[in-house]
Amino acid sequence: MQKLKHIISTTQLLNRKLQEHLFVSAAQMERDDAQRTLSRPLSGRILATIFYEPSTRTRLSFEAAMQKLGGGVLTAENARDSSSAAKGESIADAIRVISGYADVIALRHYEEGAAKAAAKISPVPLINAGDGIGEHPTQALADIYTIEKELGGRDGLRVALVGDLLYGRTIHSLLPLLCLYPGVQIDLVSPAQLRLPAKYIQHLERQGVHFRESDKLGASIKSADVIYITRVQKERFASPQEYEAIKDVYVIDSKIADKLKKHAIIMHALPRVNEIAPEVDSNSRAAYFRQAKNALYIRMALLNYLLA
Amino acid sequence: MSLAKKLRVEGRIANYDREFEGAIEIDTATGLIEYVGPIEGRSDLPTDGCIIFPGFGDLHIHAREDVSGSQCYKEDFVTNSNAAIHGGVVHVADMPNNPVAPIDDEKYAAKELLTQKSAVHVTLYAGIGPQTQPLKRHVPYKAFMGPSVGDLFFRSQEQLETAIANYRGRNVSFHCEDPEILEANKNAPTHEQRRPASAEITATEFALYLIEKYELIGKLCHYSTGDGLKKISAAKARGLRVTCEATPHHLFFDDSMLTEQNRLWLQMNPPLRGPKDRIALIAALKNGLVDYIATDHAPHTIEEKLKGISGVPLLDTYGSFATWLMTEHNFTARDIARVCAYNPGLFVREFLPAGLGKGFGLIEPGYAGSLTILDLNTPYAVTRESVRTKCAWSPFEGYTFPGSVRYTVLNGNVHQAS
Repeated sequence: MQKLKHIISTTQLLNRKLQEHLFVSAAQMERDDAQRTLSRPLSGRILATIFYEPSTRTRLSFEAAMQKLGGGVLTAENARDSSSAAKGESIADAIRVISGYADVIALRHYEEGAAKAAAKISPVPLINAGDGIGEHPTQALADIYTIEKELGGRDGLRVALVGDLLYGRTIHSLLPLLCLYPGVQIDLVSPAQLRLPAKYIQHLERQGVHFRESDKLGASIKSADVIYITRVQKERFASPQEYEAIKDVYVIDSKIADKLKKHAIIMHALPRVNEIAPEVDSNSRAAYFRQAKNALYIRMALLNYLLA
Repeated sequence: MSLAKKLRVEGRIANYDREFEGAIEIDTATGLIEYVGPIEGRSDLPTDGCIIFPGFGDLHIHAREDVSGSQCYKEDFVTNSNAAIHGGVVHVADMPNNPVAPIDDEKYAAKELLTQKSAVHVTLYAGIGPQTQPLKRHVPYKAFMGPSVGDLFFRSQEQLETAIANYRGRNVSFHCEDPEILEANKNAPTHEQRRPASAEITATEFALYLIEKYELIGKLCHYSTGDGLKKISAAKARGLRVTCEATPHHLFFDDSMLTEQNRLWLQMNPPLRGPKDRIALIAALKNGLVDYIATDHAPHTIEEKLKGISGVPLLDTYGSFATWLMTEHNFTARDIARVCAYNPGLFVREFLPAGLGKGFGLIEPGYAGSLTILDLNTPYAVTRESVRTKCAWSPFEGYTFPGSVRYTVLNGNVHQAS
């Protein structure tokens, strides 16, 4: 397949060959990193991280990835308030100017579709680091990488997606990748007001994926290979009352974690609030910190793929 | 050899996470599992009373062969492979304490050439000694802490740490016996007292320290002490990348079973421990704290054993030992699939050559077409004549296991085990 220029949507990453290439590359980077034998293939190249919406973790992960590969970093942390955006500059102008300085851009924006629009005018590779309630493809790729690493990329996986499925962008990005697994079964567990949007439901139906919807976690606990729980995001609610009413509907504590299958994994894109009790952290099923580490290596593999 | 392009096996199938009635089709040209689906009543092999497992993997064996050939009177890669097949083992990982030890790329490659004679796949560990450096290739390593069999060992913790510092981030297996504690007890009356539990526990603490400090992917070999298990459990909970082996002999025998008649035959390093340790080890294997059954298959001739050399041969009895765990200790078929197949498969996956698909340990399309088919209704009475290891004896002689290996399938080729 033709080499990708930008990484905007998970739908670009459905090619198994490309995935395998990136996964092998990420595993190699992880090994070399632990052995402190990383080469510096991106020496002299620069990544600009332009974040119109705060996300310290994603930004640091991209920046660490670039620096570990020998590249440099330009960073705009609160681009919405502190950059020329506050003066009314359009994102298009910002991209045109910044692409003159940087060899690759990681863009986080509060509006769905912003990354796609920016990529249209960007002369350098642009990576969507999350666009509103749209997509977060590097996170999704890291999630699939984690599932492959922990569970061996099985046929017939049972995956429970839990929490905010309406706004949960990581979930939206992950779904098309999950559908690639033969025989995958998906449990959609959410409060009624945070159900998965119809367009994703239709996608599942079109793909012939076996799924069920529920507002209770109970049925999924014993059967799931993967429990992927999301934070109910305060910033997506109009009023604090609305948020308070449903923020803690699903909480995984030790009691629930111990009931999961022995080899099941608990995933979370982090940050978490109350969805997973801290006591679960030492449970062998808790995969979320490993998942965060995997995201670093996936981003390294992607940067290397786009630039080397 | 059959001309059929596919081997189809139907019956009760056990993966680490699922047990089901099903059919497996292996493409004998690629040697990989091509299809897993429902039973249709047309199996190429009779599997009545059997459970079909993903092929077992033994991560700790001493096949004895190296380029010098000087130890081949005990075992070689061919007889080792025969013993493995007899025991239902489809892949092994061979330890590096040979007279010509694989400690650099050249010696490793030379030893690897010898493994081509083996029908079962052999993963080689590279040795770590006081003067060695990591290989350019990605391989697993083995560090012997204290003196055992061979020359690859250390005299102190400081010496070991200096060497390990060069192996940051590597996959390192540890033989946990502290050399200074062994030295201090060397004049004790029995083998068990000369190598006390404290030697393993101290060495465990140090190995865990090294694994954490140097970001190693660590494995603790032939684990034997109940008190040490608690330290491993705490380390795992802290997120250290460490796994742990247990041998059939430490799970089956303890020092209360030693007599003047069997003492020499049951001499190994680390030695047998007390009944409490043994019970703790079985529990840990069941609850997942101990990850693998690995035999430490260590063939020595009968003459050598009578002279008091440490080590016992166990490949021939690997599969039947699994049936003992199922009958005597209520291990489920899934438990067995986990500790004998899935976890060993995970360990070797990153070191496998191309052509083995997704590797070993699961009955799934894309994985190696290697199976271990255990017959739970036909006991195996172990005799000296029945074993295929070159050293031609077994610590289980005279014992009758409740079940046996009916077939070992290697990449679609069927080997009748008995």
